[in-house]
Amino acid sequence: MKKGAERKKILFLATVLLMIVFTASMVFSEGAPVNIGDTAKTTTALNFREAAGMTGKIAKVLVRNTEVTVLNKVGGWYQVKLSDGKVGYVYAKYLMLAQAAAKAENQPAVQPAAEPVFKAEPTMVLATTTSTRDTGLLDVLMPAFDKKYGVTTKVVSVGTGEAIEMGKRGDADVILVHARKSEDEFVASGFGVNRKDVMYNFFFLVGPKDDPVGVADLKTVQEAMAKVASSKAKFVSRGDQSGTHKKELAIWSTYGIKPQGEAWYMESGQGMGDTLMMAGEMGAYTLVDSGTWFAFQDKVNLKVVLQGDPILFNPYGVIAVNPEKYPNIHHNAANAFIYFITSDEGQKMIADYKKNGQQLFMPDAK
Amino acid sequence: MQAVQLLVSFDPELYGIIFLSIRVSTAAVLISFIIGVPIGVLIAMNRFPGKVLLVNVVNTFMGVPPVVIGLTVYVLLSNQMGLFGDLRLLFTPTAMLIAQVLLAAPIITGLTIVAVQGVDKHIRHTAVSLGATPGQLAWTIVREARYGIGASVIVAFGRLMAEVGAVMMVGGNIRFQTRVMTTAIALHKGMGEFQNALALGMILLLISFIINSGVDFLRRGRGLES
Repeated sequence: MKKGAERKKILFLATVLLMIVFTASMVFSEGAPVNIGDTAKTTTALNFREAAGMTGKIAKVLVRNTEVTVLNKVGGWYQVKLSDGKVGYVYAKYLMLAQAAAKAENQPAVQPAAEPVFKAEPTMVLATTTSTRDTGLLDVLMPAFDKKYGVTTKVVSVGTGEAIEMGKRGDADVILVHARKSEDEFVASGFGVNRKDVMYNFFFLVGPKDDPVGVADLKTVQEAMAKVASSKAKFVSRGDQSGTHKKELAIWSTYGIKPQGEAWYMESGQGMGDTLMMAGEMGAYTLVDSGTWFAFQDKVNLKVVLQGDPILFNPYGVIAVNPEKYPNIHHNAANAFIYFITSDEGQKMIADYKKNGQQLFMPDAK
Repeated sequence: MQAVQLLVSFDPELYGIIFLSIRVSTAAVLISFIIGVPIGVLIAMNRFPGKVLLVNVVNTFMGVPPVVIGLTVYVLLSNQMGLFGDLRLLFTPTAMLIAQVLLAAPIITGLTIVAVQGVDKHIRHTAVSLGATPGQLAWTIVREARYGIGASVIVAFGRLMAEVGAVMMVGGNIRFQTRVMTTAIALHKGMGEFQNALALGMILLLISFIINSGVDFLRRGRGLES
């Protein structure tokens, strides 16, 4: 009798478990299954690997809504062909039928939300990173924002470190930066409010065109940079506590490498453009954000030697400075800006911004 | 306060930066002195066609923005486009030295011209009538103009120590290699570390004060002697 009850219990639990799994898989498969021969779209930024499985070398990262042709299914992976003919593997979960994707996009918004009204102050100081200025994105975004809300924005373009410091001192009303850890600290310490994801791009490891160290054959950026260090190839670092510099330091630290002070390791202490040109002049390796790279690739004698490692993902966030810390902060203008840059309008401008035919930033506001 | 703390901390990096600043600027002033004084004396003491134009050119170069000099040197030394790219001098202390000489030499030349022209004509006439050779004449006049020439050295040194645009461009502000006081200040400001930037600024002022006092002492010493 007792045994029977226990059995029932197990059966019940198993049923519940099965139901959960089924529900989950249904959510993930987004309704229409993708079959061999179908044209599908990626539903997120997706690693494109040379072999099926998490250990397959990442050839590149596909941006959201990249169209691929499905060739085969291998376990949880699809073998796909890109528009340029390259064949590789992507995780099945993140593919969606092209028609289904188009349908989802064409569906009119059920209720066009009324735009909130901001009593924006006449001026606003935006502290942001050199990469947003050097790429020219702000030259497109800011005039549109200024016109729409009647604000005159002063853009101060510095490293992420200084931008955050400016926010802490109340010298800026809103900041647009890329260093997630520092951003969270900024909010946690009460200086920042209303943080929102805005967009992302990637970091590339670039180096001399002949790649003397042979970094391109390696899988991860940690291995690549460890090889640069062990063969004492020249490496130019930002050395300025910028978002890019922090990312670089995090990569060195995986293998406990301390390059500071080595003759092959040069800390420029300058912006991304200057640092990249320096690397070009010296035939050195350096870490660069994709936006700056696309803007500069014709001007420097370098090439991308490694990309697509998930560690090289580079998200940008926008944060308003807390008006409780500084009552004279132009908080309404800051909120208007945050609304604008994360709205469909601002996001579309980011998506449409191209240089040398390349989209520089992928919008990802939620 | 923090400037004092930094100084007494004997941080090797800080002393490296200070030492490099002084080394590059001193060398540049010495080279400019060797080039600028003879040229200045020659221009001031002789009459020739185009003299006014030449003096105007020198005076213009005295005021050239350092970034323009930096840009020129960068382009010349660049491995991608420069005439002297093969030397691989860009982002080395030598490149900074070249830019600083280009900055300081016109200053010393120009101020030497002024100083020599300011020497009392009677001294010149007396020396000539006493049968001085051209070499002796030049030496006499330079001796008389030594205050002005000394001042030109101080001005040139001050400009070099204070200069940031050119050394940033051609030196690259590379840590442990081409980072000097001014570029370090710019960097600390860029990282939002105002305390450190201000402390370095104080140290820079202090060094300039010590060096100027030293040069002034030398000048006065000789002045009393003669």
